[in-house]
Amino acid sequence: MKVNLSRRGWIAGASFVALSAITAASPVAHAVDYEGELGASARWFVQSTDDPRQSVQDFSVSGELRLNHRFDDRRQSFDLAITGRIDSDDGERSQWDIGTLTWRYQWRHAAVSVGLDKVFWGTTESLHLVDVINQTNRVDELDGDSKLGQPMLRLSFTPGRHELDLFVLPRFREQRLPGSRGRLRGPLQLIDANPGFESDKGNQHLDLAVRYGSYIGGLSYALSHFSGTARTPLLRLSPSQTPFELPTLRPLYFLTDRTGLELSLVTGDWLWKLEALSARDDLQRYLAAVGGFELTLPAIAGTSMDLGLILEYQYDSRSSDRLLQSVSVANDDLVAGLRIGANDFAGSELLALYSYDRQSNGRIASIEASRRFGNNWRGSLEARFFSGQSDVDALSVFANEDHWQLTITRFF
Amino acid sequence: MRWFALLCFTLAIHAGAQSIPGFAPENSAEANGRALADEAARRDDGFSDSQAAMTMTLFDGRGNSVSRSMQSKTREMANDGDRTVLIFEDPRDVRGTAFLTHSHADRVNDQWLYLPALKRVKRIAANRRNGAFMSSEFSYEDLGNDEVDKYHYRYIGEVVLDDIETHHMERVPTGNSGYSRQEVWLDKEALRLVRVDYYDRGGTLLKTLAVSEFQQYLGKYWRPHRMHMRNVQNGRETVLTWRNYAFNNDLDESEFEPSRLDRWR
Repeated sequence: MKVNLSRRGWIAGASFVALSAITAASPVAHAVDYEGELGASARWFVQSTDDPRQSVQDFSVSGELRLNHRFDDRRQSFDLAITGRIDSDDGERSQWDIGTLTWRYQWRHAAVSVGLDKVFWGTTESLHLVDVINQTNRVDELDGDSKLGQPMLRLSFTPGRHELDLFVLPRFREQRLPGSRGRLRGPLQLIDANPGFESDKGNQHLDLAVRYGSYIGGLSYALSHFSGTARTPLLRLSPSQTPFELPTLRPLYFLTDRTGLELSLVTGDWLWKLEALSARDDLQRYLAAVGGFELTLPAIAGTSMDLGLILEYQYDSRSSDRLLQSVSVANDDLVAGLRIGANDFAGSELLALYSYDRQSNGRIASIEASRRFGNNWRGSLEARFFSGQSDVDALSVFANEDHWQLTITRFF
Repeated sequence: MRWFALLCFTLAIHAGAQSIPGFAPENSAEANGRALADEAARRDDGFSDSQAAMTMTLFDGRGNSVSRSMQSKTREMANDGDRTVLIFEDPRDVRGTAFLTHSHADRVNDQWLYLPALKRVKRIAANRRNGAFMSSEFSYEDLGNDEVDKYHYRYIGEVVLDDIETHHMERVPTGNSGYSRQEVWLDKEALRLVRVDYYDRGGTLLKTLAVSEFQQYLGKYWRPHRMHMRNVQNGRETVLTWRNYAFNNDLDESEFEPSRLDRWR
């Protein structure tokens, strides 16, 4: 088998080996409370594309370093988290980010924090609909769990079981998308260097958000409102400048007002989940929701394995041709999943998800399996297959993007 | 000889029942069992809060073992069950993961899991409680279900168990549980739980827990420093050990809310 490693790939591989050796050999300095991880991953794409700049494999090295400092009898804290990736092919995927750089003061029932931070809202597994504070780092991971640090001033009030959070978000961060040599970008090359904004302040628009959450018995609930720059851009086709150029997509970030609801309910063996959203884009107010259940069956068939069944439905009131312009594709989709926890020493896990778009017949199958090696290493294998996507489905850009990904991560 | 055996039994209950309110031979086995459980719980009242470092060693029954470490923090509540948070330190890939339990006397416990990589708090479904905690032979239920009202009791008798004089009784879970019943042994000296036999839903012995290495804190509260769970059906074992117990740490109940689970590190 012929494997072409570019120069950047060699640098990535060499730095992974070197950093692994350093962290394994040097005693951890206990004076500084730090931790981190370093990963090496390879992706193989099943299909090649028409664009000669794209290849069928890439290699990357990624890492995260976290520093935590608690002082003043734990009332004050300073947190820092830096992430980075070096990719063998896609220059846009070679990137770094400060996910957290926060000072925080904690009172008994309140807290204030300033800096870059990450905040997660939501309950469902197949889609993070309500989550809005942080921009998604789409070039890093396809599943949307990778986020960019958001500058914020945050006030939290936590009397008893209640939680009220107020956010002032002074600077918007654009979505990061794959470059011309990267995969998972579709046939059209995206330009994210020159996005458009509805606000005349561009990415300096002052966004505001508020969220109230609480619980009673097995029911957890939260209501949130966000007013500011939409995190997901609408993509508008720009005509080619010359006959030899491919047409491009220009991301447009509109101002939005969105109100979200999160629910989760434990009843016996079932965990019910719902996220609902009422939001406005450039043309209309729309409704979107995702809901379903997770049923966990412990100790199946006399083994020590846990088995979880997931079923969720995704709804969006916007029509498919409108959605084609945005990266969101969940408009009338069913997602079924299976989670297996082996409960072995290695903490082996498997999550298989199958998603079906009832309007376009588009289907996505994904598998994530991982296990621990020793105390400090974890290996994972992911696979995603796309099929049946018609032109009306925004996922059609992924029609030739079936891939496998193997990752090994060292935690220190 | 039958009357003699009966007399011995009655005397034995008298001996063990001294100074235990409501514990009298004319009461039923159910009332006696309940009275013992109430008294054992009463003796632990007022500890306010505690914290300790915990090590969990898993044995797979084929000679392999692996260790996990975590911090445990507990806050006593005025009119409710205790609140406990476990913060994982090792293995490294789950470092910072925190597991919060609000135990309740009158209904199922509330449990949450904090996943630091996503900064996400998730509820745990009730049935997960029967599932293995961190791949160990302890279930989520075993770690947070010691409220007195969670069981019906039946006093069985006195036995000497590994040179310890004990009260032996049966307890049957009142609500949703992974077990049909449990047999428990409390030592007569201080009513400390020293052994539990767990029977699965089919009524077959599933696990045996041995609790030992007790130390007394604040001149009053006994804490075990070792728990050894043996699964007799699959041959696997788990040993929990504690060190650096500390009381009166000024842990506030507001710190034991799901919204604060990211603050423990």
